[in-house]
Amino acid sequence: MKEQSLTRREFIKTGTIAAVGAIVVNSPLKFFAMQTVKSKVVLIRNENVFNDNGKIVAGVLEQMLDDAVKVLFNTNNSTQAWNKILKPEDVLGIKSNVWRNLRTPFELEQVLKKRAIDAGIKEKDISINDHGVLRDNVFKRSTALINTRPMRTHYWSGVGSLVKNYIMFEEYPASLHPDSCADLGKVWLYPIVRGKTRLNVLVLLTPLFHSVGPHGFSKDYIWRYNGLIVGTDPVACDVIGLRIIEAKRKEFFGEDNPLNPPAKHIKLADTRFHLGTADPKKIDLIKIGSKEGILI
Amino acid sequence: MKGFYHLLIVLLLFYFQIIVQAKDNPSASLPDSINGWKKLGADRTFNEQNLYEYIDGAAELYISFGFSKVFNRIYYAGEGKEIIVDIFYMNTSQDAFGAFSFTVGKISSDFGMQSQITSGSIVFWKNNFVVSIMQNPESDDAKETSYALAKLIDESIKENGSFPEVLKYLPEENLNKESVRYFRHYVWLNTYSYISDGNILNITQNTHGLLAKYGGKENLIFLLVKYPNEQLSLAAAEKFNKEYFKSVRPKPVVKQKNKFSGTRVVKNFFIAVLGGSKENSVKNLLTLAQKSISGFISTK
Repeated sequence: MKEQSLTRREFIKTGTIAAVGAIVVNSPLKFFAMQTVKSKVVLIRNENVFNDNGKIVAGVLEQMLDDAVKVLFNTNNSTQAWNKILKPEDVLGIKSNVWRNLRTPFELEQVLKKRAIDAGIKEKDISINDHGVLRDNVFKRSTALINTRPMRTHYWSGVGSLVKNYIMFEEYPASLHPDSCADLGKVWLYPIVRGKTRLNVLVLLTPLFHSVGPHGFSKDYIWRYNGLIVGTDPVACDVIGLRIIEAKRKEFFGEDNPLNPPAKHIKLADTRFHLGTADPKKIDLIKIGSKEGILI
Repeated sequence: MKGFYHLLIVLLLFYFQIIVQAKDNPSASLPDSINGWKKLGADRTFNEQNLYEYIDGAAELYISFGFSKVFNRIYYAGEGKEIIVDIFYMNTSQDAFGAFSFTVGKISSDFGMQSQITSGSIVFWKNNFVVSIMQNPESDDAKETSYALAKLIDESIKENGSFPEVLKYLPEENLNKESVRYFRHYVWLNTYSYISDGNILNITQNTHGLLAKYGGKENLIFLLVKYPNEQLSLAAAEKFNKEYFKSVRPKPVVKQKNKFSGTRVVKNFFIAVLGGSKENSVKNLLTLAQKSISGFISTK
């Protein structure tokens, strides 16, 4: 028999194939997961969400939310989706945002509460709160959270985002202001919050894309986008919302007009606190409904 | 006789104090009611420690410039109709200009030194005060009263105040005057273009920073920082070049991602021009700025 000697190249090639093969055979799911895991984000828009008087049409908003969760959880109907999100034994805190100039719509809060009741949660085990979450008995014993707020520009953090919305779980919120709110993601690791968020709903019905004056608000700088961004990954949802805000600013000002300070807390929520992905390549964005003026 | 002079001095001091207070206290000019709108509840004041409770993250903007207090009054006309008046007592008129410049879009001169009027809101600065009058909700009646209040406050502030001294160094040619921003905190560096997350230029409360846009055939971003001395400007330049251009001694104009940028140190000034599509445009603006600064320094 003739002896065969391996060259260095052949050795490396053979060894590499063997190693990869071992990974695939021993951990097939992990291997394919590395290649394919993306954060699913649903952007849904409906131009009929406001009536002629500028009031929200609750029924349309409800349908938007139901359609979004159905797609997000890939179910046949929205009831199945909600039953995946919430269980009857859950104690649910709905973390809202009551900023006086652009608050979470009351209609949306009520739809979320209604769906929680439909999922079997007792009404006494549901609370909707913002500033008072640390003193709220339901939030204190919560097993599940739903995070919802409108997206807007913010003088210090760049944007008011889903990640930022949990700042009220910090006893001294101003302590998170240094370095233009870089460490907002930290709050998501607090025991009262950690691992509980079942759903994020970023409201883009009338987002604020530019701040003026000490209160940061003027009707001149909001517009009817008629949208909701829904997902389980708050960072990915914020990334999409941020893209829309930036696109609107460019459209309105006629040139690049970056947010300042930049909303770096969103990326840092990924890289520093691992709350989700800020990498657009790892976000699977599904757009439903109206495409006119979608901006992205 | 001695007693008489003592009394005279006390009366003069008292009178002087009233004048000073009236001059320096625009909130004292506000009536309790106006055009059917009445003061609602007690006035509130906020300081650096609790302003956040009132205006959340916007508080940091005013803190970054320095203020002594914020006065707040709400006027009410029933059925949820409010006019919210806020008067920021900034430390200097330069601080008032600085804070104002970061919170506006289109600038006008309807009130104070500069103003902005948007749907439902009036904001202006004059001397060391920034004034905000906000309608909630917007209405013709509220608008009329807001204007009346703005006029009252404007007229009660006797001195105009002055723009930051560093503005004089800005070359005039092709300057977009509405784009000028004055700052003393590094977070404002990224206003027109991303420069850095950190304090790449060692900005402190003792430095005076400017950002401005220049038009013409280009869209250039001009940055100027005045330091207390040349040693500090040189140190800042070295840090900037290292972090921004990744070189301790970059070329006078550097190309990055198809855009040209350049920096110079002129005595205790650091200047930079960013985002040019042509090398010469960047060079020219740097030269103009250098000449402007040198001209002012040599006339001292």
